[in-house]
Amino acid sequence: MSKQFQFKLVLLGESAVGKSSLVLRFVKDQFDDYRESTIGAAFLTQTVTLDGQTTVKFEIWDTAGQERYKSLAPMYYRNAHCAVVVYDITQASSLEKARNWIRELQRQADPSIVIALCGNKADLAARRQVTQEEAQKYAEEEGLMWSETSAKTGEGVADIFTAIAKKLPLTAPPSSRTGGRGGPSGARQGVDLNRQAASQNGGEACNC
Amino acid sequence: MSLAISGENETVQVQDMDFELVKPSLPPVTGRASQDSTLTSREGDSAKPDVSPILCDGASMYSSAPRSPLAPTHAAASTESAESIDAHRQRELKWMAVFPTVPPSQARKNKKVRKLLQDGVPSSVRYLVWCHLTDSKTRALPGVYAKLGKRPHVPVFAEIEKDAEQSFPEQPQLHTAQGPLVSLLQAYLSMVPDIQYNSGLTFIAGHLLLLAPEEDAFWIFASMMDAHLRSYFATNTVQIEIDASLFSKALEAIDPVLTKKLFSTLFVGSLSVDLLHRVWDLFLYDGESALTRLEALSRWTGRCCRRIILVPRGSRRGQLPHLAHPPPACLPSATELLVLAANVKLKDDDIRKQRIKMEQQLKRTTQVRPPNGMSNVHAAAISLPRT
Repeated sequence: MSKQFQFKLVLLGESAVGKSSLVLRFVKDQFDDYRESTIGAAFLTQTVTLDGQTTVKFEIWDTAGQERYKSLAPMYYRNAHCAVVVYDITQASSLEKARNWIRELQRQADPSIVIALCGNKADLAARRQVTQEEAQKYAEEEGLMWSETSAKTGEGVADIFTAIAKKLPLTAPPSSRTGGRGGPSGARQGVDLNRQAASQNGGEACNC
Repeated sequence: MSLAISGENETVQVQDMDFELVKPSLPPVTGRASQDSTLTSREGDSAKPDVSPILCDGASMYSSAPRSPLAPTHAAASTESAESIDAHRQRELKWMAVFPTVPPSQARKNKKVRKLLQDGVPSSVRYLVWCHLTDSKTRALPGVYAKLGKRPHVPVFAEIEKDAEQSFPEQPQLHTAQGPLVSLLQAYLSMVPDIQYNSGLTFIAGHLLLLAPEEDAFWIFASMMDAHLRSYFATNTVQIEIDASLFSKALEAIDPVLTKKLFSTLFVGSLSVDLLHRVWDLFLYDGESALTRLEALSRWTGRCCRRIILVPRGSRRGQLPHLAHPPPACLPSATELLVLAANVKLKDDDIRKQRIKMEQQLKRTTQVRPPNGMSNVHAAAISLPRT
C-alpha cells in the first residue's frame, strides 16, 4: 500500500550562500547564475520517493538570508519538522551564521526538529575556507545531519533531501488527509515527534 | 470628558462614572509574532486543502527592490500539541493554495477566504493575506517607493521619528531616521500631502512592518489608507467623527475622544498583538463594519468588557483604554471573541444607513468650523513621482 507523508521544511542561512538555488535545483532541477535575493520567504513543494511505496512531500519555506529579515524567520520555522541550515564552504563567516541559526532552532523551534547542516558551493572547492572535517565535527557534536552540496552542478542536492526524508518519522502520516481522500479527521492523529526523534537518535546513523 | 489617572491605584472617570482599573494577571504578549489562533478545526472531513502544485519562486511571489522588514522576535510556543501543529501547517497550505485561485479583486467576496480568515491566519502568510485582501499588488508601481524615499523630508519628519521611538519602544530597528518606519511614512506623506499626520499612522505602519517586508508594507499601508482610513486623517475629519460616534453608540458610555483614538490607531496598542492581527484580518475583509461589529459584541459581552476597555495601559503614553490582557474570566478567548464578532447579527446595511444619517448630521455641524489652519490644502492631492 502506498503511503504519502508530508513535512514542513525551512531553509535558513546567511545571505548568498545559495538557499534559493538549492531549492531551485531540488524542485525544478535548474540553476541561475544570477539570482535576485529573496524577500520575506518563498514557498515551494517537492516530493521525494523513498521506495516504490513511500513518498514524502516537502513543504519548503525558503527564507531570506539578509540580516534585516532575520526577525521574520520565526514565523517560518514555526512548526517545521525539519530545517536545512546552509553555509557557503568558501566563506568561513557563513558557518558562524549557520551556528547561530542552529542555536536559535535548538532554543526556539520544535524540540524534535530534524536539522541538516549543508555546505553549499562544493564546486568551488578550490576556494574552500571551511574544511569538511571542521563542519562534520561540529555537526556530530550537535547531533545534526551534515553534507556538502553544489546547487550549480546538482551534486548532493537530492541526496540531502532524501536523507532528511528517511530520518523523519515515517510511521504515522502527519497529514493523512492530504494523502488519501477523506480520512476521518477526528481519527487523524498528529505524529508524536518526540518519541520518534528519540528512537531515531538511538538508531541508524545519518546516512549522508 | 477626561481621563483622571492618579497614582498607582487608579480609577478612571468617564463623564460622571468611576471605573476602577483592573490589573489583569495574564502574562504580556510583547513582541511576539502574530500567532494564529489555535482554533480547533471545525470543518470536519469535508474540506480538502488544495495542495496541488503551488510552485512559485521568490521572484514571482514577491516584489523586488528595496526591502527591510522586521518582525517580532520570539519563537512560537513550543507547547502546542501535535494536532494543533498539524492544523497550523494545514492552514498555511490552504492559504498558499487560495492565493493563486482567488484573485485579489474577488478575495473580499470569497466565502472560502472568509472561512479561512475565521479559522485563523498563520503569521507566516499573514502579510500575503493582507496584500491579497487590500489588492495592494495591483497598486504597487515598480520603483515608485524608492523614488518617493528620495524626496525632501516632509515637515513632520522629526515628529515621525519621535513617534516611532515612543510607539515601538521594544523595536529599536524601527526608530532610526533611515529605518523602515520613518522611510515608509516619509514616502507616503510625500505622495499624499493632504493627510494630516498624527501618531496613529506610525502605529499602523509600524505594525505592518513587524510582519511584512518594507515595500510590501508600504503598498498594504497605501491600500488600507485609500480603502478605509484616509478620511480619518484628512484635514477635515468628519469621517472619523462619524465612525467614532457609531462606535461610542455601540459602547454606550465610552468617550468619543477615546474611540477616535482607537480608530485612528486601528486599535494598535489597545489590543493584544494576537487579537489585533485578527481584528485587522477581519477589518481588511469587511471594512469598518468589522470594527463596529466587534464593538457590538463588546456591548453584548456586557459590563465586563467595558471594564476591560477602560483599563489604561499605564506606563505607556496616551493612556489608551485597552483590551490587552483581559482577565480570562471576562472573555472566552481572543479567537472565540472574533468568531462571535463575525457572527454578530449586525447588518452592514444598518451600519451604512446609520453612517449616512450621522454623516449628514455631523457635516452640518462640523463644516461650520474651518479646519485648523490647513484650509489651503487641496483635497485628494496625490503626487506620484514621474516615471
